[in-house]
Amino acid sequence: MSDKGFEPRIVAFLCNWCSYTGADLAGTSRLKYPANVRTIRVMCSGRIDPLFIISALQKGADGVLIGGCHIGDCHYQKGNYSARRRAAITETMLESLGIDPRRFRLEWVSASEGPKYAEVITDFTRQIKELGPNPLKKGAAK
Amino acid sequence: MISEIKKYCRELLDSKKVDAIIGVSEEEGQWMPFLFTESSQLDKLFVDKKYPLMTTSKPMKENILSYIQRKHPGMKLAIVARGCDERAIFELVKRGQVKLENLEIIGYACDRRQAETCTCPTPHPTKNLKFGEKAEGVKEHKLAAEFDKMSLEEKSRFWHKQFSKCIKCYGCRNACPVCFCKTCLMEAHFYTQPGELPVEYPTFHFVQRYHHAAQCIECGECELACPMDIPLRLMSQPLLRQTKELYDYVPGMDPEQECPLFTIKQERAEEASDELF
Repeated sequence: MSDKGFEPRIVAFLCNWCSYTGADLAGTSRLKYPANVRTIRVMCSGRIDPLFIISALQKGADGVLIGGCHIGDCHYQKGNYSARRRAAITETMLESLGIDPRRFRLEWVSASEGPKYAEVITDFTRQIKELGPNPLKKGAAK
Repeated sequence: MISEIKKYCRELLDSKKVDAIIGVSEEEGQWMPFLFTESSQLDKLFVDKKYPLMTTSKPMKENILSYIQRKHPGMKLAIVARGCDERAIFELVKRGQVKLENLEIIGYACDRRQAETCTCPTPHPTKNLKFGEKAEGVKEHKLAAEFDKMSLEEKSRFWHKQFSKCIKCYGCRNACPVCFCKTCLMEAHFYTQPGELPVEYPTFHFVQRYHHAAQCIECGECELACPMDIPLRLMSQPLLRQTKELYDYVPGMDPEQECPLFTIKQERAEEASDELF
């Protein structure tokens, strides 16, 4: 696949209470954002094990986004703190595996931030398009 | 050093300060973990070679120390431990697997030669050093300098090549002293099916590495156990470096210090009471 026609596949793990509702709002406000994102709703960003991220990349995602509530706003009080700590480790992990850490992003999007959600997705899709297809993907040149 | 340790142990047993001592015994060239209950048995005590005393035996899913502590609560124990054994005990204490009450750690230091064999960064117990001199540790993996220079693509190729050798023997997990989960993610059918080889890179290989990001005590057992000579510790070292830089945390140094991936106390200190956590 040439990079020109490359449409990335992005997996977004969105927290039920903030980011997922934010994405919903972006939809109901009829905001435009690229259709490259595949959403997985989770109850909390703290549920995301870094293995999910690696697993998603292994199974063909080009980028992984985690959306959570803003710091201090977690429905479960401390979930997004855990997510943040793990995110730091995840980036090192990806780098030492030889995957560009820019393929992973952690963003705080609240339920009222529909426009921000659209913005994040647009920006992230653009970035992944620049990075090209994920080398871990099956069939990709090693 | 061995005679001093034996003398000390004998005193402990004779004065009834402890009921039993966990150590390694040597009999006809065979080493095994042994529970010394009488001072006459102490002739067999062996400390010259590294023995993974704290390793969790996988059929039992328990290590010797936690097994004895569970079977005989209140028994006064002592354990003859190297630096790595002590660090393993501390990490297991943090995770509620073993208890420090009624336990005396008889720590002894390894010499520089042993530290080099294991690539051990701290070849001595940090809190309970009783015998031997502190030797300088080896900080870097033998391939670390080469690995750090690699580009992302080269790293990716490097790991592909290394892990294509993996025969899924679970040796790295079985040898690990801080692996104690009863249900192991490395056996989860989501990541790998029984009898399927080779395992798909990289999730399976990374389960243990990630889980030990703030837990690995750098004893080197995984690498020693690996029959295919995969430099596993090369993968955990960047994670450990990161935990040290970000949270100033080195696993196994202090049983009181909490693992940064478990606790968020510091960040929320002003906002919430400690009862929440």
